[in-house]
Amino acid sequence: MELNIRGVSKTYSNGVQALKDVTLTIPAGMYGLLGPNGAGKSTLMRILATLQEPDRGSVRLGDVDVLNQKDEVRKTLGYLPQEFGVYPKVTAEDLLDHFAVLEGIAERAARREVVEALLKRTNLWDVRKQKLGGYSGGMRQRFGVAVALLGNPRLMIVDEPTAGLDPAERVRFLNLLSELGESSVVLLSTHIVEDVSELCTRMAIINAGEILFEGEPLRAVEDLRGRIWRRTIPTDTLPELERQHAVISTKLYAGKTVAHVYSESSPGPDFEEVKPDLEDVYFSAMAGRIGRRHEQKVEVHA
Amino acid sequence: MRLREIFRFEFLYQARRVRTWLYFAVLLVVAYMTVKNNSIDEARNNLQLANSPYVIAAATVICNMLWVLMASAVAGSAAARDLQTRMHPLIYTAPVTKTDYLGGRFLAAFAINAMILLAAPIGVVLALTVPPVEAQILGPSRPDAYLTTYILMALPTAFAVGALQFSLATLMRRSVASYLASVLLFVAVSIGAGAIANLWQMPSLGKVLDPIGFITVIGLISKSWTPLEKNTLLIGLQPEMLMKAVLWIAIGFVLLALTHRVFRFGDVAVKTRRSRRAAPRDAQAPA
Repeated sequence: MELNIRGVSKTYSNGVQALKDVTLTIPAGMYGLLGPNGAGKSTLMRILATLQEPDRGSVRLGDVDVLNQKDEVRKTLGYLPQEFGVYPKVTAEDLLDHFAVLEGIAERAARREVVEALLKRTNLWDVRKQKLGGYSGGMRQRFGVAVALLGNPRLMIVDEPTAGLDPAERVRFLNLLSELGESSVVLLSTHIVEDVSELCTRMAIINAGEILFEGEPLRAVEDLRGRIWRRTIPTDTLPELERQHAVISTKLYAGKTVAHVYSESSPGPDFEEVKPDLEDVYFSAMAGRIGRRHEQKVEVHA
Repeated sequence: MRLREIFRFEFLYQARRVRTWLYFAVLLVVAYMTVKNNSIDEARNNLQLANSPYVIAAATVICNMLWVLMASAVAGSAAARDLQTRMHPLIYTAPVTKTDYLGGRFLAAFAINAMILLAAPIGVVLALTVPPVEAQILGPSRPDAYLTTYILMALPTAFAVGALQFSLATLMRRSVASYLASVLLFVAVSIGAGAIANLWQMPSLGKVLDPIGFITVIGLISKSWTPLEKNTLLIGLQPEMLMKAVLWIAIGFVLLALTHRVFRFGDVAVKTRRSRRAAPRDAQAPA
């Protein structure tokens, strides 16, 4: 099972181009889609979840044409949207049971078992008799996870799932996902680099509707070794540093600015080499130093 | 199987809401008061029976009219609750067909409305029995009058009006659109059917075009029928009323078929050229 996205573009009616010719191959396992807010992640996720139409391009899940065989896709799809609500005046148990029937689990005893197992896995068993209107944001999120996991989806799409979770809930949720990732395609969109570095075997970085980078997080970090340099400077000298060097990211530390610079050889005696992490990969790609944009530039020059 | 589940869930959801039983109670009281305050007095003063088919039909159409204006939220929320609670991304990505989804929801709203409209015959029976009225003004008990009125007058109204409310709320993606449907219908009927029947002297056409039955019974039959006719004839079986039922059920089906055609399990409203132009230039595209 593999998800193939080919040349997908989408422009909204207000002129915003949300996706530009997105092409990705997503194998079974955990796949991270990393990008800042407004990069087009949710648009891509909604298209994959059959809720939106791209202007151009094709999407295939194995043999299934995702854009034209929506009913087929929905049989094997689990989708956790970035933002969703629930009926306020119904209990978690009743609503999950309803979704389980819609998922095709017709037999009552089997359904009760599935519902119970999911409520326990998402830590909602003790509050299963509570009306959903009284749930906190995190509880509602976990309810959404339970709905998405119903019927063991072969394609799982989770859009910014950890944004509303506390640290313990986040770990729990990521564990649930990685279990599923052993057999299914799990596509996780996030703006949090740690989500990807902890979980995903493959990843893509997206910005302004364009895929900037696609690869394996571990390889990408390895490839960056020896190219990231650090220098601590007074904050007001940053513009000067930016003029002279390829600054990819800055952080404040004890009132001073710590700048990370991309360079294939030492940029000078004031710099020290840093052991790169996935955040450096992310910022290098965003700055066009590595990945597809960089390759295009190299091609043009050659 | 999925249609049945969507029906079951929606029906129980609405049957457990206080609102539903409030509508029922209001219609019950109105039917009761109508018979107590008007029909029984009239029966005492002239030849009309207090439990005549006409009395039952009159109480029914008064309740129908009130129901149209009051209870539009039943169909409206069945159609648009998923969008308004923002649960639609979960349910739209479930393996459910349009037919299951729209059919289950509409039928559940119809069943709830049918239940609410039962308040009319129950209210009439209560008015005649609690406290009991004198035997002199009562004719023989006529279950067929209750049945034909409910099945041939109240239910076709519930179906056609419900289909209009449901379709508008589905296509406009909000529950209040069903209220708009009710008001439109109310105005169109009271002006349109009333004008056709009274001004242009075509009472038969007016009766057929009046989906609620109010103009027909309260406006026309009340004046044109003799007490004997009112005491014996079943209004629901009159040719115009049967034609009306067939016509409006057909209109209901056409509306539902159109809605089924246009509806998409989509995140964004169906974009017409107008809504595209109306979109503000600086609107934030969803991320």
